Amino acid sequence: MSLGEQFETILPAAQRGAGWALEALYRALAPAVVGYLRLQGAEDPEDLANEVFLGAFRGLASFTGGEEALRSWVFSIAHRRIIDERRRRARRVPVVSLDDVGAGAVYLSTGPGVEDQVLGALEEERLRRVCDRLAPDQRDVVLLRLLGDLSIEQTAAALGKRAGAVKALQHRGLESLRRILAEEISPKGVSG
Amino acid sequence: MSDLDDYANEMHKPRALDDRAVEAFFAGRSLPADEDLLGTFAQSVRAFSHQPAPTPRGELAAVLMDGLTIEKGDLPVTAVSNATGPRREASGLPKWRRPRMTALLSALITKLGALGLAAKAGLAIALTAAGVTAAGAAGALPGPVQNAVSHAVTDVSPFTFPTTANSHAVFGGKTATTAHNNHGVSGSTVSKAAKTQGSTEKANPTTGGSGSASQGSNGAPTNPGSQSSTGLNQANTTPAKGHAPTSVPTPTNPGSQSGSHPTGAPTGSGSTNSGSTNSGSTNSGSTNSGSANSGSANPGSGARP
Repeated sequence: MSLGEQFETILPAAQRGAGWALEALYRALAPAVVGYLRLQGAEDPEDLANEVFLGAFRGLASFTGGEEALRSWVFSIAHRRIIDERRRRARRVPVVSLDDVGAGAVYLSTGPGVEDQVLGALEEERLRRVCDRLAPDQRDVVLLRLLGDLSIEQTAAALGKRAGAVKALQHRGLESLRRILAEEISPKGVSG
Repeated sequence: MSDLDDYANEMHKPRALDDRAVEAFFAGRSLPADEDLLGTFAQSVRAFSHQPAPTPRGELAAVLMDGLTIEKGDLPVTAVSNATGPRREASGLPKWRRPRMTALLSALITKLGALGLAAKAGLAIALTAAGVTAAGAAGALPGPVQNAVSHAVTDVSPFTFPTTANSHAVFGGKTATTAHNNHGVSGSTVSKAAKTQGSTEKANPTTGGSGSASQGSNGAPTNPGSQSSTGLNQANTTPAKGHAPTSVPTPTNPGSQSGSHPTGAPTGSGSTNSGSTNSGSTNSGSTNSGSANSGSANPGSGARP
């Protein structure tokens, strides 16, 4: 969701700490950020998104640039947060609580239509599974470009890579994606 | 070889994506018909951006409700109270060093308290000796003590500390320079200054003697008596000889006698008087023979036009 011309009014107010302006930025950016964190495999995407926006809002006073630059900046923060979470997760022993088993049910209970929620949950699970099969670098590039709507240069800046490397990664990522999606429809050994 | 000879899998192997297809994928434009799987995937992923934002929780909810108080980072404006500089308590050691310094001091006090009686006495003696040596190096000790410390240090080390004789030589040198520059000095003024210096040093006869001896090495006569006559004779050889006294009376008070000399009297005669008188006495004024030396060491300069 883009703020368009409103951005020129909202940003200065948000930089002064006005709640209404911060909320407008949150409403515009949070869905894509939460989606990015979800498909990157965050344990609690919404909680992590809260941390991302708190960090972004606290540093907003020193930000300069337009809406695209702000979007790129927020996704850079989100990417660093998910990297941190992966490192934390790698250091601790995985524990599955009984509450987590029913997480899908909790998710379903918050939406309007149960059928749509079921389909949505299944689709999200499928997308996440596909993304999991991508190489991490390829997944970062594909998701930042698709969900963050970042350019090659912005993606390169967010990942700390050169633009040429991002271009190569997105190419290989799409090739891998095409192969993975094809295998989902006709798994190996079944076609013939 | 015809297409019929190919394996089935090779026949359906997709061609590589070109740059245009890749850009269309990421830009949300329509893809070639055989890439519908990729197109569907891109739409499904982008659908996340169109979902409603999740309800903010905890601290973020409070921030969105009440606004954010900017406490950190660059402030848009500088507060007036800070415009002229930091607050007073900003001076001194940095905060991270204050506890360290306090800990060091407390540890030092604890260690001192734990020392034995002999160790404490030794430490006190060492500190006193260091203090006396430092004062001696600065020439700030009383005359006899200064000389004793100076000799002790000279004997046991390659260093030389100032003695009272050094100060006499300096005094005489200053008087000679003044006489040279002003074409004469006031005998009473020199006498008073010499008396003042002598009394402050609380010199004994031995000290005064050493002062005269050291000045003698600077070219001045070592015998105060001959020094006196030399000053008068030298004064009489100058163009100002008409103002020079013909004889030298024996004063009972050097200060009052010096004051009786005319201001325009040649330096040689004035300083000769003080020198001859003081050198003969055992008073601290004897150390003022330095002023007489200065006159006799450079007698012509005082009377030079």
